[in-house]
Amino acid sequence: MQTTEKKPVNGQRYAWIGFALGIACMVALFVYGLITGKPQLMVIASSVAALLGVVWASTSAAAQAATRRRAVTVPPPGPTPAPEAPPEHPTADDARGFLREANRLESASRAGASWPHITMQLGLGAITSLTLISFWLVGRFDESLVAVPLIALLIWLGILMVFMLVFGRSTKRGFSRRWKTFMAIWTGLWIVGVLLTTTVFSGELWFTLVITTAITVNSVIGAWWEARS
Amino acid sequence: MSPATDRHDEHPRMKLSEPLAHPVRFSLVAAIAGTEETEFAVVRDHLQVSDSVLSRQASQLEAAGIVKIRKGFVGKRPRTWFSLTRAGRGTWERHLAALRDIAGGG
Repeated sequence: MQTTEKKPVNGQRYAWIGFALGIACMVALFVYGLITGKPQLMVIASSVAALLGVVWASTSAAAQAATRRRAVTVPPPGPTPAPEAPPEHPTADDARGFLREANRLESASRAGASWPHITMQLGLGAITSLTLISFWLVGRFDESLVAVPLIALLIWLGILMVFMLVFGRSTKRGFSRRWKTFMAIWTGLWIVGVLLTTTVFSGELWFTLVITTAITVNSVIGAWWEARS
Repeated sequence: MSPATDRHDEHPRMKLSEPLAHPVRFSLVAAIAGTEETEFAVVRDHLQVSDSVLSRQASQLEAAGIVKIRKGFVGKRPRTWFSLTRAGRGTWERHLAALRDIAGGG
C-alpha cells in the first residue's frame, strides 16, 4: 500500500535548530560552571538542557504524528478496496478490502496516540529527578533557596499537565494499566526521595543519585513501554 | 447432511456482525480498536466524515453495546470520547475472524 506523506509545513523541519542551539548553550554554561566552580550554574544548565530535550522529543513526536495523520493512502491497483456488495454476502475480495481498511485505520489511530502522555512521563521524570538534585545542592549551600527549585517544579508540572489534558486526544490500548503502574512507582520514589533527602540522608549525595537514577529509569522505561505499545 | 446442520459447517458470513455491516460503523470501530479511548475529532478526521454522520453511527453502535461514549470537559470545551466495550471488542474480533475466513476461502 502506497502512502504519500506531505512534507512538514510551517517550519517544522527547522524546529530542531532552536532546540539544538538551546542545548548547546546549556552545555557551554555547564562547562563554564564546572570550570569556575559554580554549581548553581551547573544545576541550572543541566535542568534547562534536560527540559529542552524533553520538549524537543515531544515536539518531534507530535509533528511526526500530525504528518502521519495527514498521510494520504493510495489503494493499490486491482481489486477495489471499498467493497460494494451487500455486507451479508461479501466476496473474498470484499473481505480483503475490509481487512485492509481495518488494518490501515487501526495503525493510523495508534500512531498518533499517547504522545502527550509519553511527554508527561519523560518530563515528570526529568523535572523531579533534577529537583531532588537541586534540593541536595540547596541543602549544601543555602537552605533558604529551597523555594526556587520547588516553584520551578510546580510551574513545569502545570505546563506538562496542561499539554496532556489539552492535546491528549487518544490513548493506546492498555494505557490505564501502564499509567497506573508508572505513577505508582514514581509516587513511591518521589515520596521516599523527598522525605529521606531532607531528613535521614540529608547531604548524602549517593542517596540522592540513587533516587534520581531510579526515577529516571522508571520514566524512560514507562515512556518507552507506552511508545512501543 | 441433516437440516440440523453442524454449526461448524455454517458459512463464515453467518458470523458477521450486522451492526458492523455499515461502512462508517465498521471504520469507526476499526479506528478505536487499537486505542483505549479516542476523542471524537480524531475519529472524525480518520474517517473523513461529518460530525453528524459520525455522531449518528456512533449512537447506533452504542445502542448495540459495541461502543461506549463518554462526554466530558477540558476546561470549558466539551469533549466526547469513544471506546470499545468488552462485548464490542469480542464482536469486533469475531467479525474480523469471519472476514479472514471469507478472504481465505476466496
